[in-house]
Amino acid sequence: MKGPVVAISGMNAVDSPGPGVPVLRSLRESKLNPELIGLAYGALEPGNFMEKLLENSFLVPYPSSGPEVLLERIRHIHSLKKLDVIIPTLDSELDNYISISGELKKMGISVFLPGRKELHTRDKTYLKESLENTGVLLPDTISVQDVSAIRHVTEEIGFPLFVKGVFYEAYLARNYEEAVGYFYAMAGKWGIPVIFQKYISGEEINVCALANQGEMIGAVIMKKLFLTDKGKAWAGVTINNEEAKNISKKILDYIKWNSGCELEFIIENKTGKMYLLEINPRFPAWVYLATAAGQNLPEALLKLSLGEKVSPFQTYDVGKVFVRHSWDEIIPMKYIESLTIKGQLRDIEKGDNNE
Amino acid sequence: MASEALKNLALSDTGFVFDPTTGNTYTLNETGLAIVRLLKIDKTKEDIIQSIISEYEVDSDEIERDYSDMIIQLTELGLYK
Repeated sequence: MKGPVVAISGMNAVDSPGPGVPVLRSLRESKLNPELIGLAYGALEPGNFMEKLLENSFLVPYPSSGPEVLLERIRHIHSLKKLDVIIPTLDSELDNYISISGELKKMGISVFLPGRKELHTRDKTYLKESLENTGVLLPDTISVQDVSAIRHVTEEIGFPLFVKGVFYEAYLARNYEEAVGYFYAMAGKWGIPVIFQKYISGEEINVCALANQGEMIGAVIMKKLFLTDKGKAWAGVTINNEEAKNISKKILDYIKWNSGCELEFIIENKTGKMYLLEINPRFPAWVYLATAAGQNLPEALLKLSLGEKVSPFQTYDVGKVFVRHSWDEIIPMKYIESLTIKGQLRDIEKGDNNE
Repeated sequence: MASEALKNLALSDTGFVFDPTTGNTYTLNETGLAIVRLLKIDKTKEDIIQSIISEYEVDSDEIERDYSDMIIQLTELGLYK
């Protein structure tokens, strides 16, 4: 029996990968037997061509086009392939999906998202303020709107410090000139504000989690073993750190989080104290490690999207290692043509539906 | 004394060590592995040295040195207090 039709965004499995492909991979292992559809922003996004993981892929408009344009595109896709669930996996598209969630519901499409308030609460520009009374430690963080504020902000925080884009990327600035350079780079790429954050020397650990109205359904903790030059994990291992788990549970409950997320912590070498660096409002690109370790969080999210009850996971395998790799896929030109001209990998109207 | 983290170390007969709390990995030689195995079960310095002397036929000065070096390294790693 065919399962639900699920569309997943984030097919950009590139050097700084989106989480779409590991979410597809996790759902491919689900007993719900879902039919999987990719939503991509470009014809050449690698996930489009991972034929073992998805049945079809559709292009969607960039988030900057706004919610109306997105809704119109989804209506068209829905007319070709009736969707049951959409799982957006990228930070920058969440606002639009929250805006159209009511319309999607009327169309019979479920999404499992945080509310706009919760999305705002975990925003890195407001996080310190949001968690003020929780006892959770955060490095000094200041949002910068204008280059004229940098002198004052850097004097307050001190060097070295991180300059972070509002959605993605972070660079370590060692002096004022570097800080200004990174400010312009981040503002140009991701917009303002740009976040300036105190550098803490220590070991970073990350938590991949899923919460339902603040209740933590699952959480797997990973330590990066190998980094790319962009600081992305290219290898990692599951670890057991009760403190990180307990703090994550407390935070998710406090902000009443509802969806997948990633909490990034650093344990300061000097003091052993654990600081929360940020909360990403979606699963990380290493979410398949959680699945392999025994917590299929994308499947649990799918069940929640479908209104099923999900019991919290209790354990996972510690010492499970992932190593990412690159692979040159050979693609028939007709796929590129179909995505470019028709906006879909397989032309359903022509009967090319992979069934 | 051995920390909780040391007691949680996963030790392999090859000398490969995985710390499940931090994700760090280490490699130990045969003597180092024997020392850590015994520290994990709360053996005293005297017990450990005696046990290694009887098993490996090494003189006590040498094993005393190895033991001290190992304790220094474990302390630096936060595995011994």
